[in-house]
Amino acid sequence: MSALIDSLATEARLPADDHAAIRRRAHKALLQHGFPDLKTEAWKYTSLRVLEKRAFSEQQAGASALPALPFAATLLHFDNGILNVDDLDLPAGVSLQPQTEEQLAAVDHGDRAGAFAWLNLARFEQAWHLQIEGHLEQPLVLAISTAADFQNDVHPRLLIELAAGARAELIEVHEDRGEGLVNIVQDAALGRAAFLRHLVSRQSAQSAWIQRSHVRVARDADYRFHTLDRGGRLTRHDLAVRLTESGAHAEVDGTVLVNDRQHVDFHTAIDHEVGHTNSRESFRILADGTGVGVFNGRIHIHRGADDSHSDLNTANLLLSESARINAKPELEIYAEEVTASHGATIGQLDDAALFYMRSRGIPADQASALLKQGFAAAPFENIESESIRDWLMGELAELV
Amino acid sequence: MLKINNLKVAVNGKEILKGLDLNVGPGELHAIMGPNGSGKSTLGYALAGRDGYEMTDGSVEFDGQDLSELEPEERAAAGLFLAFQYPVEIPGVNNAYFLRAALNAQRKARGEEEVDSMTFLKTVRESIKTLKMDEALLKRAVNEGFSGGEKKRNEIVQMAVLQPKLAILDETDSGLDIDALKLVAEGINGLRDGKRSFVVITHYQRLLDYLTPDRVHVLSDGRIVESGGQELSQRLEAEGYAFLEETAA
Amino acid sequence: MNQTVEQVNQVIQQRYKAGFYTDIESDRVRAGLDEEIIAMISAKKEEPSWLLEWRLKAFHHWQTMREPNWAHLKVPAIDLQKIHYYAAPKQKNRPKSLDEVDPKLLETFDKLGVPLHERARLAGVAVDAVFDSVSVGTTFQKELKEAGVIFCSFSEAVKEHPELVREYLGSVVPFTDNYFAALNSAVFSDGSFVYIPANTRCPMELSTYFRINARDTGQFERTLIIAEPGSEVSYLEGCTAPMRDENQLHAAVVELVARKKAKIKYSTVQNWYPGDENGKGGIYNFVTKRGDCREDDARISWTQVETGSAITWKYPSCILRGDRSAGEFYSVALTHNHQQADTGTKMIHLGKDTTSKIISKGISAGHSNNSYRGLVRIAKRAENARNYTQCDSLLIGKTCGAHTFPYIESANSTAKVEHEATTSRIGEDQLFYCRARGLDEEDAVAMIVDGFCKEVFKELPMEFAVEAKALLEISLEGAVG
Repeated sequence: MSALIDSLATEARLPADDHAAIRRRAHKALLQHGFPDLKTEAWKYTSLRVLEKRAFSEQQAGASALPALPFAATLLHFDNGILNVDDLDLPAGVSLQPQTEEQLAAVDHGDRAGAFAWLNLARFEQAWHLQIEGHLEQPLVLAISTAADFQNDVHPRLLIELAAGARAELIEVHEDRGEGLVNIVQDAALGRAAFLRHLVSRQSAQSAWIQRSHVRVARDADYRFHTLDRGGRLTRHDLAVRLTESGAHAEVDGTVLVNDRQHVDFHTAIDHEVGHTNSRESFRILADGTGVGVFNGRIHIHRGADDSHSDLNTANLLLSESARINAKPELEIYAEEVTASHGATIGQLDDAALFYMRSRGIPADQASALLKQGFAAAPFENIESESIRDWLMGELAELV
Repeated sequence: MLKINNLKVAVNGKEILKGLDLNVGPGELHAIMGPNGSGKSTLGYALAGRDGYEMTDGSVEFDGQDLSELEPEERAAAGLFLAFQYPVEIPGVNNAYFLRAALNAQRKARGEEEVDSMTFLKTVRESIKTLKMDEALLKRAVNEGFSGGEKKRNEIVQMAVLQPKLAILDETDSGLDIDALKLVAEGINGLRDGKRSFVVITHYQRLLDYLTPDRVHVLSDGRIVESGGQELSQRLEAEGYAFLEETAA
Repeated sequence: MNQTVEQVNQVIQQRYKAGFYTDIESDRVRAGLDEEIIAMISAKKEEPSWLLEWRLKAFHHWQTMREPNWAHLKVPAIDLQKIHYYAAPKQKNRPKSLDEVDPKLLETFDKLGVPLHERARLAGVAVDAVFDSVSVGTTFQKELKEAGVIFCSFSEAVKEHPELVREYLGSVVPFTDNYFAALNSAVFSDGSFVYIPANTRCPMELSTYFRINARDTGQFERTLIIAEPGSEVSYLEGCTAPMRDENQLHAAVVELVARKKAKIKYSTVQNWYPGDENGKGGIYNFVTKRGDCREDDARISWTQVETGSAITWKYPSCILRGDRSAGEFYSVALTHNHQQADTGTKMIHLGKDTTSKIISKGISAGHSNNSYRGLVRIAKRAENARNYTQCDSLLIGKTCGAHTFPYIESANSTAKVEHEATTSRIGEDQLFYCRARGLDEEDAVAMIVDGFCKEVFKELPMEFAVEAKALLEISLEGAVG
């Protein structure tokens, strides 16, 4: 593990700025816990060997391309992971500031499983605080892209706050062409009766993408997460949603496609901390080639969180002889009057459906592509915005 | 149109059809009746080319072509249609999209031009109206969440749009109430044009009341044991399949 | 049958009726764990030198290991140096038959409902009775011998059938497997040995009854069942211990080997002392059970009803090596008061067309925590493997926990794995309906719980099913209201 410490976390690499004390504390925590390995329960299916073998450049990479999007949006471009603030034009109700010392000092990223978050705190280039009030008409797009010569490591940090009653769509578009590390830490808090649709569309090349999203959902607020992950050399996303007040609601939907030499690991956790909270989750992996997909979905209903309801479903397709899928849906329940269920399947395309389609004249290849597309599209069906849905469906159609 | 000669079909190594002969001419409607387990559905699946339904002997000629050589989609493009006894649910695949993809794939295979979406929608809407179905079903996933009756009617809609030369209807009447049954029969009769042929597989005679078959065959233990006119189906209805045992003995 | 009913009635009269202590002089080794103790155990059992060497190898390996901490359990530190690793009732001469066994011991097993002497034996069930570290005796040995079946204590097997023991010992659970398996391999005392020759259907149920009696001892039994090609056996295991304020450790290893077309059915009713309502005392049950479907078409089925122990850590597993081999796991685990259970199974699919089925029912009441932990692994070469898993949890009360941790790993695209889990409480409406029909709340709960567990109970041999049901009812006493 010391390989990663040497390449990413030597003392010399800590930026010398106003936050030096916080950075040193984070660095100390990181050294104390170390990076996770296969014996770390939360990392048992994901090896960091790819990263260990990498040297990270300190030379600045060339400018990365902006993703093309077929819908109107407010765009924040994180060029090679760094937000370009020059001609930022934010709509009314949206403000962006650097995080304060207090905000940064308040975090605790836990033990070894939180090593990358500690690394982020020790090494972040920018730490933004995004505040949203009222109803946003256009989606906010965070475009995080890297250039072909990106061999750096970058540690974007973001705090998102939705005021009571606010309503927003936040779309992260990750486009990677490089071979570095993008290590994102984001925290979001939804005020009372706020609504946030949070979408992550990721296309990774050789870079490792490690993302940790922690979300707090207050009374009657509604958080919807969707992801379309098109695979990458090494991708790990930890999404933790805490339902902290009654009436809070969360839905998590994701589709992951992996192919040759790709490895994507999603860990989600939904915590029902109080009663009268609801969640639903549906996650799908389609693994082809030598791809490896990992899904760990945890539902935790705390003591006293009576009258909470939760359903988690994961369906997965193994599409080739060499692909692998590991799924671990977990329930941890300490309350009464709850209903919680989960279902998990790993299999292949449905023979009966394939035959049915072929008997209607659709050739085998096209039939299996349609089936895959239908299977992969399910998590996006309840996105109200037609333009966003069409965009995702279009992307999917191209992929399968 | 369809010439089946001494057809033997095995499923999982077990012979289900044991030498079946059947000749269906252009424009004819034949009914195949038989008790459960006689091999009725096996015949449908074997003709449509389902994996695991192995033709071990005999021949099937469809419109001059040897069927056994063709993949399921090639059979469909050649004009063969099977209405499934249990239409399959396909989550995530839109019903209208599916049908259009099927139609265009068949047309492409035949060297015809694809239909544009306007023409396509017009055709589908007409059939949907004939079968008194809810147009909203077009926007849903294929057969997903459809009632039993809706699934069966959806098969007839597909048949109307795809315009096959030969349609095999596998127990399309099962699970339908009398009104739905009449609608399905109307849908079938509307497609009888003197050229298109039909093989109607059924356990009961009641659908045949509305269809006037040219021939009725009784399938038992993998063979056609008796053939006749409509009076045969009425006899079956009255006496049940018990008399088969006498015939066999 | 009458006898069984009476047994059940007795059980019902007392919450933990097995909690008595037999006052019998005991021959104990000193407390502590070191090479000398291991040599003493081996010497007392008059073991061949290869076995002592094996024990010592296991011990040395164990010294390099750490206690596992991944389970959802709070395990207080266990001082392994304070345990006496060998305790046996003092007997002047080795009894040659059951008639020579100390009447006090026979009486103990009588009281536990497992009479050993000829006139009262359970018909159709051969019993090996293990008291602390030794086997007291085995019934029906003659009848079994006629069928070619070997059923005896492990110690006897080491003496009489060393070649079989040597070939199979550790072949399913090597001593390197885990911390507790390594410990057991170093210090195991007694247990049962079963050998079913080829093409033989064992003429009766085989059963071992484990009893911990002495204070400050642990029980480290070792069971080995070998089913030769085409053979079939059903084996039952029961266990109890006196009520004590201190915790006692039970760390067993069970190995099953099923060869071509052989069938092994292994049932357990685990009723170790669970501790009192404040969580004081009780057995720590850390058990490694594994079956190896070593050749084609073998079948291994585990059924367990777990009501006892303060802590349960147990994952009866199947390695599905042979093509078309099949594994099953049926489990009811009930925890009450301050009990903790982390139990489940592993189904390792290696061969083609292998199938496995897992049905797990967890019931938590009081302040207890009950976890299902299961692994289904489909290896790359396991073409067409199939698994179906269902695990349901029932919560009774506001202060307990029910958890599900399934690990599903598939590396073969033709395999199909399905897992379903639900957690719910006993429905208000179900309870009300029962009560409106005149049942009191406790009876209503018992009835609902019984219904919840039915799928598992029907896998148990009849006598055990009745006992299991009664046990569950008793264990739930005071859970509602």
